[in-house]
Amino acid sequence: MDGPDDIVAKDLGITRLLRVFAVLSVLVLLALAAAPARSYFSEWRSAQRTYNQLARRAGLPEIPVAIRQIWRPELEVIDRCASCHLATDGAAPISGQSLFAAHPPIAHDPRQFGCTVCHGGQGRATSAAAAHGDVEHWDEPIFERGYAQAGCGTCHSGVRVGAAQLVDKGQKVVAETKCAGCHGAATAKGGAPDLSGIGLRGFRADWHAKHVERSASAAADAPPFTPLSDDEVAQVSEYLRAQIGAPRLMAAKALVYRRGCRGCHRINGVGGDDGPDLSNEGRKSAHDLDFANISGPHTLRSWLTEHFLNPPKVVPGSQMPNLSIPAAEADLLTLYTLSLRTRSIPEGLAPRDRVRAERLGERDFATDGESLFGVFCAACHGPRGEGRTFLTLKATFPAIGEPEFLAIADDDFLRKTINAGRPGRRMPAWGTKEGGLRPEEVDALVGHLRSLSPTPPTIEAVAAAPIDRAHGDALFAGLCAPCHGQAGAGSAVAPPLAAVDNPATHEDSRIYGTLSFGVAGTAMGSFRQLDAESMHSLIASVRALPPVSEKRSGWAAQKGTAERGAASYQKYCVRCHGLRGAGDVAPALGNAAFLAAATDGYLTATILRGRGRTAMPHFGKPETDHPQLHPNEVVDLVAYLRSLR
Amino acid sequence: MRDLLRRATDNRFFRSIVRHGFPDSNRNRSLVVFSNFFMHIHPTKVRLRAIEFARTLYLGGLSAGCFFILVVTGVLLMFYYRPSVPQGYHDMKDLQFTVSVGMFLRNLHRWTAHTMVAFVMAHMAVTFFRGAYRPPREFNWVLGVFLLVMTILLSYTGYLLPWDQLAYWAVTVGTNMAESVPVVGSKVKLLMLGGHTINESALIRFYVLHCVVLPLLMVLGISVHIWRVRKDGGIHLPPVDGDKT
Repeated sequence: MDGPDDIVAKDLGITRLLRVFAVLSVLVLLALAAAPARSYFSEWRSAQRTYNQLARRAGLPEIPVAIRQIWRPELEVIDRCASCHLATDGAAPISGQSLFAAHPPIAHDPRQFGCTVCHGGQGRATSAAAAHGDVEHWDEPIFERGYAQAGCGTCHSGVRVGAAQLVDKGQKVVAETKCAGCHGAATAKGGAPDLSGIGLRGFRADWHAKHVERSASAAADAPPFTPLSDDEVAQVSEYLRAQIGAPRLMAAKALVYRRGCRGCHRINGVGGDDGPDLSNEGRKSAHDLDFANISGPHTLRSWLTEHFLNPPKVVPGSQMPNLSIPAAEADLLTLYTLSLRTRSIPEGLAPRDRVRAERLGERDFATDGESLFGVFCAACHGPRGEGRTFLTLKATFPAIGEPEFLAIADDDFLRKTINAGRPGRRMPAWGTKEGGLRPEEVDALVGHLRSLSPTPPTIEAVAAAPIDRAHGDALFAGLCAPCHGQAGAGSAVAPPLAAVDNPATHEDSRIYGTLSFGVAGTAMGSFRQLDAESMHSLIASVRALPPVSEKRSGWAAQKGTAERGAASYQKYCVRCHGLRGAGDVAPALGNAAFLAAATDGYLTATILRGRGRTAMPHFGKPETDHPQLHPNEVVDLVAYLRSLR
Repeated sequence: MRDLLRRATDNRFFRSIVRHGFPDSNRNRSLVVFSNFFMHIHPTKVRLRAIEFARTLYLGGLSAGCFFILVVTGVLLMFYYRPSVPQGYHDMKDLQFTVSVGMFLRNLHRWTAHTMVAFVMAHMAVTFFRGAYRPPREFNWVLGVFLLVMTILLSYTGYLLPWDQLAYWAVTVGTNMAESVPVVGSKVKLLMLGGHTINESALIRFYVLHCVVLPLLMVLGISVHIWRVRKDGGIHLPPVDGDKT
């Protein structure tokens, strides 16, 4: 359209502007066209087209091209993973294509709970990078290859780790009895269920009786069933309970419960409080972590692994000691920690193990003494109670599995110590603290500690052993004389052995009993580490002591004087135990809980017998840095310690 | 060509809508502007120098254009967005991943909003340096400041709606700034958030402000602003000797 004559557009460059606008308009139109095109040519559409091509070639049914999602409103799950991973949601799997492979068999249908509940990632996303969580600001990326079993922890927070010794034996029995002959995954059609997930589904307690019953009435051509012993049935049951279809996770959890992590870390309400609560450690976002000292990728997984290998390097100043964990174990510990990702789910969907742990207060570890020791004690006291020193904690943990200690510590002392702990020291009051141990568990632990001391030779073996008097006398001088005196005349701490009226020394069997088991509540600990010959020789030496004038009947352990004891304390003890027993490199003796648990006998015996393999010397014999202490000095020392509370 | 157009417009149906004749005379051309609802805020006559690109860089018009795009995309986004927790975040994710051209809509809305803030700022700078805020246009300058504040508030309220971490912390910072105002600060924060924490009640407040209150005020302000341009004698032009156009 021609403009009126009085307006001359080109004078003002309007024509040029119009051209600019024309170009811009075309660009806008292109952008408007590109937007729908981009959303049409999406990754998931191209994946589905590829699937359809392959399906046509393989003669499988094609699928309509559409976004596929698993929707579980009760779990807040909208997972569109199946838009590309088509075979996980109904489409026929195509062999050789990992993207179109079926989900590996697991204990429940993947469609039941969606994908992200277990695997992590971003369920709503429809592009690979965003769905796998490889994008900035997505806190929960998908688990790396090899760590998928950590996902079980979302719901299965209470899976029980059986007693290691039973599980191992049970596995052996299962292998030997060839249970897989009927129960293997390949043959699981004739009614014999696959055992790989049996622990999750549960099984009847009388399974063995049923097997026996059925095999009796079975057809002749049925595979025979050989009955097992009761012990074996218990072992196999424990093994089966551990079969939850996630062997690596179970191995990881068993490792954690053997390493004693719960001694310092509370997990799901149970454990110590010296380290951080780990209950939700697996949900930590990489954004919460400091990667300054991490050489690997900046993921929670790599942070955890490097942290386990060398905690003080990753977190300078951390109290977590370097436990010299081998790489394979660090990997398992990482898997376990990643599995600490419990989230709230509707009660109705909670798996049995979780209900048992959360609602019924059942333990997710075996409660026999050995297992408990592994769960709570092993990290500090060592797997066999050999004691440990950690530089990061500036603390030495007593060797409570040491025979010398167990010989003089009676059950009551152990129980009181576990229950009340050592206030002010690392040892928590397991009996009273929240997340601690139950009374029967403390008893089991005491029993286990007791079992760590050597077994005495049997009375028959001792009686049959040859006697070597010279050896016996030497043993008497070393072991008995410090308390009972060279002639067995007794002292302030020990009764006269050679007294005519001492019935305990007039019979071999009574001496044997005293040596093997000690006398509870007194300073007389056991000497059960002696072999049969030594013990028989020692018994003979005791029996051969010439009678002394002292009487057993009037004898009682003497009380010392604290003032005199204070002087000895300054001389011999203060160097390690600190002023007034405050504790230094050696334990705090002026600790109310310790003094309440320790009897005078225990204190006396510890001073005179020392503590094997620790810095506590043996004051019953002279050494370079101290003389032999006389029993009178010892009772004074004990009186001084008693005055410290 | 002209005959064809004349025939198309010279009939009863067309005349029932557009009352004046074909704009081939100055009278009819004036009537185009007078009698058109959308054009009547313009001056009937515009000096050629006033529509020169270099004079205004068209920044006012571009800002208004941005606002138009924002209204269109905003309305489309409203079809998909529920202002509640946690649906707001999920709807934003669905727009991103499953709604056709949803990501384009989001991006267009977002980038146009940023552009609009830049254009409005630049528009004010040009107005300032050209001296166009001087009488008789001083009231329109005040209106302009009001529109700048509206633009920034729209931008700020829109920031919370995705309900992600960025949104949450941006609003935390913003409301804490308001709280630091002496005397009334905490009341202002309470008013903004509808509570003491950033929660669903804050979200609905920001949503209503962003989608209803502020856009209405904005439309009103823009209308008055453009109308005032006409009433204040059109675009400010420096006097030129022998100026006849």
